[in-house]
Amino acid sequence: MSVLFIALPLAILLGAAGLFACLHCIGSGQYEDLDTESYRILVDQQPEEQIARKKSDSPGTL
Amino acid sequence: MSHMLADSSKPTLNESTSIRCAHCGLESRGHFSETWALKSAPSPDASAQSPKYFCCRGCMGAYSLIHELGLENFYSLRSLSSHETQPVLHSRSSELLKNLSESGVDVQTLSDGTCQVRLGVEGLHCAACSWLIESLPPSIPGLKSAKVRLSDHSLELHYDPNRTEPYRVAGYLSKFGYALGPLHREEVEEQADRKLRQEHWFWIAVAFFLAANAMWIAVCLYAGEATGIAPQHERFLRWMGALLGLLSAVFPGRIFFRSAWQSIQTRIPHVDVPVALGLLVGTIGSIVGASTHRGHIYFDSLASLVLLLRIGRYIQFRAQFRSGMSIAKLLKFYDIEAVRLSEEGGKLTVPAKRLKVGDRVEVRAGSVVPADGVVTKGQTQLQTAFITGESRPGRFGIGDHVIGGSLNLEALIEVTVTQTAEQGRLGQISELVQQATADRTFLMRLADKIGRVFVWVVLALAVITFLSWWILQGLSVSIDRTLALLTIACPCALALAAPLVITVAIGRAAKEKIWIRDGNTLERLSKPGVVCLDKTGTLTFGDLRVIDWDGPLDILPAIAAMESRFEHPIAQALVDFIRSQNESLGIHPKDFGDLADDVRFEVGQGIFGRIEGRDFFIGRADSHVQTSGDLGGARKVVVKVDGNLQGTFLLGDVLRPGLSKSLRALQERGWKLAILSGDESPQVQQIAQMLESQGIELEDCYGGLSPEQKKEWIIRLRNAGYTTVMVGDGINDAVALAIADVGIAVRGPSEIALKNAPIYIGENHLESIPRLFDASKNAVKAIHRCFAASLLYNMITIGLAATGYIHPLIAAIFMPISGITVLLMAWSARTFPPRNQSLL
Repeated sequence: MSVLFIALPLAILLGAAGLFACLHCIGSGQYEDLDTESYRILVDQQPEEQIARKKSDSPGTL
Repeated sequence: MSHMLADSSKPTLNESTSIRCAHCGLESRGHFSETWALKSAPSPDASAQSPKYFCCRGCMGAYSLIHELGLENFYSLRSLSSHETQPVLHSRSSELLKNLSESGVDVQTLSDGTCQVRLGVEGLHCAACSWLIESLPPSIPGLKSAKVRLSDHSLELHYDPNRTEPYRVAGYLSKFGYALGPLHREEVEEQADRKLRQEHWFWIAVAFFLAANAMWIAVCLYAGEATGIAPQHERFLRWMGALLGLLSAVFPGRIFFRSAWQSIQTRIPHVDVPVALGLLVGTIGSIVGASTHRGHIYFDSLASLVLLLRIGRYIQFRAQFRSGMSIAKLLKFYDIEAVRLSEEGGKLTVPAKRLKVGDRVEVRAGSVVPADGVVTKGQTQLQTAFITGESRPGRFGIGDHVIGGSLNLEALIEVTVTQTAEQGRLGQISELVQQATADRTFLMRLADKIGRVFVWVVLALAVITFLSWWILQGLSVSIDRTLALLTIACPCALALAAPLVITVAIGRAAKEKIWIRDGNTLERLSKPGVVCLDKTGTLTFGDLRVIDWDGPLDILPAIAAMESRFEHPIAQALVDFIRSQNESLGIHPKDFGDLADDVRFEVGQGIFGRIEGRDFFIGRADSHVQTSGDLGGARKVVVKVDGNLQGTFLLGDVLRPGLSKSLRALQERGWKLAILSGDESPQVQQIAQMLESQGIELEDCYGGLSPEQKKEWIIRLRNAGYTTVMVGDGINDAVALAIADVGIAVRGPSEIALKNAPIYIGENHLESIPRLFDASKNAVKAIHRCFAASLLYNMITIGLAATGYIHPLIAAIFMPISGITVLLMAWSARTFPPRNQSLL
């Protein structure tokens, strides 16, 4: 029994896993907007409590 | 709000003498300044402590709001990108969000009781805008998330319906200058296209996976053939390859079998017939090869053929999606909104299509009359240019009949609706447009024509090959050779070439602000015919501009200071003119600033105000003066100071610059020209005379045409055998745009833009049209070149296959080479030459 009989289906299965990941990305709409995401990664997310503190310091917006 | 115009890439007009607004970055007079010392979290940026200047209160408010929420990042992010998109010409209103179901907004309720809704956003420019909006949810109770999609200017809100409403979010966002409203009709359809596009991507991914794996298995087999391979390994590899090829034909390749079957049923030969036949033969060949362990291998060709064809299908879809339908959606008047007055005196904003006969609506200055009706209160001037092509605004009072779609220029009026949107003039035009679209005979695509011939030739050759080898060397050899021929006879270059070239051309056109929706139009533009031009808005600017100022220059800034407070077209024309004068003279309205007091507007007269103790009047002369020499009915605006006449402005509809040059360029390319205008004024004849004196021949020149008559003219020209091209900007051109072989909409002054025309030109359209025509000629030439290359390839390979010389290795090499050649040829096609080399 050659290793080929195990390695080849295994390689195809691994590839198929990648394919399913790609199909999932397509389905979830990840490729629909390539503009926003490329900038979003550059934005540092502020911790929520910091935003909340700033809000309490400046009353009267909402 | 002026900061909606914020664009970080826009340079200020005069850096040394003006101050940039701290919020929008536009040149400002710096009236509003404030020292921003942030109480919490002192900014490391020292400039945050210094006084800031703003162009208006709106910008100042937005700036303070952004700082209070701790979202200063906005200003640093803004410089990261300037996102250039197609201009958004419609205005949205959050009023329509009050009643979501009435406005046709689709709200999805999720399992946990929260709601999700997709809305259109106006005022988005760059990544900073989307960051700002997406950072808001913690500040709005009940709003879970907001996700912006820059590519189509939409926003997805996820919220708790018990705690907030989209309407309230819209109100909040409007403080920042972003207008939120329901998605327009064509945007909803775009969502449907999205589904189709995802399906294409899905199958391309699957086909790619199968093709890539089939190919490396094929490489193993070729290598094995060269160096020796154990028979059980070869058998295994053949089976695996055959399996992948089979999957490829059955799943991603399904559509080709389906369309071939349809073609057989309808008895119309189609390129998909040999494609399907090739796929079928390849599949059988792979299975036969796998079970007999001998003969050529086909599964790699099969899988890569499916992939290439799938990609071709997607490119085709991109190039011409919605092409047939789009023109029917030219008219967006259904998106007009109306303010309906109830019996009790309440006001409700509803979409225009919901209005019923007898409803009373309020039409504010600057907004559009929502439906045909009779004026019941007030008097005003209405601009009907978009519907009738008439360049001069008309005066309407109580009892006068008004047409839906007219723009109210002056004062608030009340209109009683006499006809619903469908029955009214706009509805009639819309109906005609739809009929015209349905009647339209589409030219047969070049690829289809050649494809049909190809089908028969390949089938005939296959039969000849089969029979002759059968007689000469027996059945098994003959099957082998026929299989080789059918597999290698690759129409994929044929199927790919035209869509690829057109897609590349569309992409390059978009950079020149020419948006081509229907790729087929490029093919039609390559042969000269007749170009029919609308006048108002196409040959001319279509709005009022200052032709001449007869008076002292030093009072101009004072006039600007007064006029800049109004949105009346005359006021805007004066301010634009004075601003352009300022640049050359170096006077600044800043010198007068807010000195103008007590400024008021009197309907039918003009503007009164006081500056430095002097009484100013800017407005109508005592009589409406028709002056010769100018184009059509020019109007005079006089300026009086303390009752004494100081000067006179002459305003009118001005010809676009470069008109005769562009028309001459068209004429040199063999196109005949015609003017079809709805305007009854003598301006049409004056333009014709002016053009003729410059040696430009006009085939036809008509004024005062109704949309129906324009359609008749186009049909007459078409029946005479010409390719007809209509260029127009207004609703009165919509029917002609739809019936013409190619409809080109240009950006005019009209709010109801024809963005959905097969071709839409965003700016400098007179200059762009000859370039577009050249480009289409080049594109068709490039398609022919690709076809020639593809046919040559097929002749060689079919010849080799039929004579039995084809080896699987040669087939394996030829397959990708043919595809790549077509790709390169399409890509390198010089559809749009660089501007300096252009013939213009």
